[in-house]
Amino acid sequence: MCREVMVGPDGRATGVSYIDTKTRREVTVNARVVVLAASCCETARLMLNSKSSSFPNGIANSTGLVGKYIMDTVGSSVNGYLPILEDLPPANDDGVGGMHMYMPWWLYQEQKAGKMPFSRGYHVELGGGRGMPGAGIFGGSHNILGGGYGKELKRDIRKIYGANVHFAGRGEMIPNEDSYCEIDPVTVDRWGIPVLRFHFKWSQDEILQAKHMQNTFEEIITAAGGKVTSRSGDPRWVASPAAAKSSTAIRN
Amino acid sequence: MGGWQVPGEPYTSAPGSGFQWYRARMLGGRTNHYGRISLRMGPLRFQAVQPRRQGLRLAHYLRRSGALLRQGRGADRRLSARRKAWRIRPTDVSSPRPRRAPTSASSREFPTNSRFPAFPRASPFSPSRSTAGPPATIAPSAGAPARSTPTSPRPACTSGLPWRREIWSFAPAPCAAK
Repeated sequence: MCREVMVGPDGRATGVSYIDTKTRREVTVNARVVVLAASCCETARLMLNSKSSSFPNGIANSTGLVGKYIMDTVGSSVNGYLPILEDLPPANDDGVGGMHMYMPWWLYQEQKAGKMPFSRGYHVELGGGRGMPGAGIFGGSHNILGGGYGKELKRDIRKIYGANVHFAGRGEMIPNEDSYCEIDPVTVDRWGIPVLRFHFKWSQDEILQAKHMQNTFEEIITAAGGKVTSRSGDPRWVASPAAAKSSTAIRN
Repeated sequence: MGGWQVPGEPYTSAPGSGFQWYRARMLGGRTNHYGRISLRMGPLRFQAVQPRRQGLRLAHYLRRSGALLRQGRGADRRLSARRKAWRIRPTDVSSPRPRRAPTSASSREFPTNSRFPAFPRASPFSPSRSTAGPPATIAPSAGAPARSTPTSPRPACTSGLPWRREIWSFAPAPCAAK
């Protein structure tokens, strides 16, 4: 596990020091060239941990911008139920959503004309249809049926299965000064290497973009005669860390 | 592989931030993780503007998957032959077997006079490569030094355009600033 980049008196990298994960001892390797490719945040961590007299704020950080302006994806989603899709003849819909359908951003002209309250766009991922059911009760059928038994349950599931649709927006964030990572002054990992501490804040741009996603998806669902069954940000729906992440960030 | 929390490798979040960091722990040296998907980053992906994008992209994938596609076409033919067998009538048995329609996915149908040849002839990636080894002659062109060693992976240039290693394609050199 790499700890830091070693620097010579001339300010050039001379190698790296790392913790041998088997012996837990610190080892130094000399090199003519050092390439940092430890992924975005881990690379920043390595650079910030590489402090020396030449680089008191971390290597190659004279601007102080290492670890600054972290960006994430703006995400929000809405699920709906469309009665017009009830009782369709059984068909194999594997792959109709997800991989094969996708809505690119479409409001460039409105943004150019200054009519939109946020910058940048998002795309829409959509799902639905009678695909192979995953683990669970036929795609949340119990939420609509409220349970059932025997022949009637089978009939009801055949009726409603495939009538659920899902829209998820994935948009671009504007980098801001309040979103950055730095070295935590106290916490270290199991190798004794200081860890990252994150600061993160969505700006009005992202919040308005997420609201636009939610309104658009609701509009599509209601225009098709359906109703919204759940949406991200709804505490009843939040279960996974991924969902929690988007919901804490964006509440409608 | 990976996770929102990795045992023994914590991170912290400033009060009020609630940031969650997904650490990817993947096998295979060239994978890059974006959200839930892992893209194979080929050189073409790093071009912001790219002429004849679709053709190039298609060629890029076909080069890798030519063998797979050929297998797939074979399977399709067998399947359709089986389907036809159901409909066949005794009087049709003696009729000649229909000729195979040309398939658009065939590498030989890519335009060879294109400015961006999809399949440089005798490229080491091309399915139509002869077994005699790499070609001995290379068309000279400005900015493209002759291949230095026979084992160089650079395909032969048939279009007169320089091979641009950074985009892994034959293309005109970028305009010099005036």
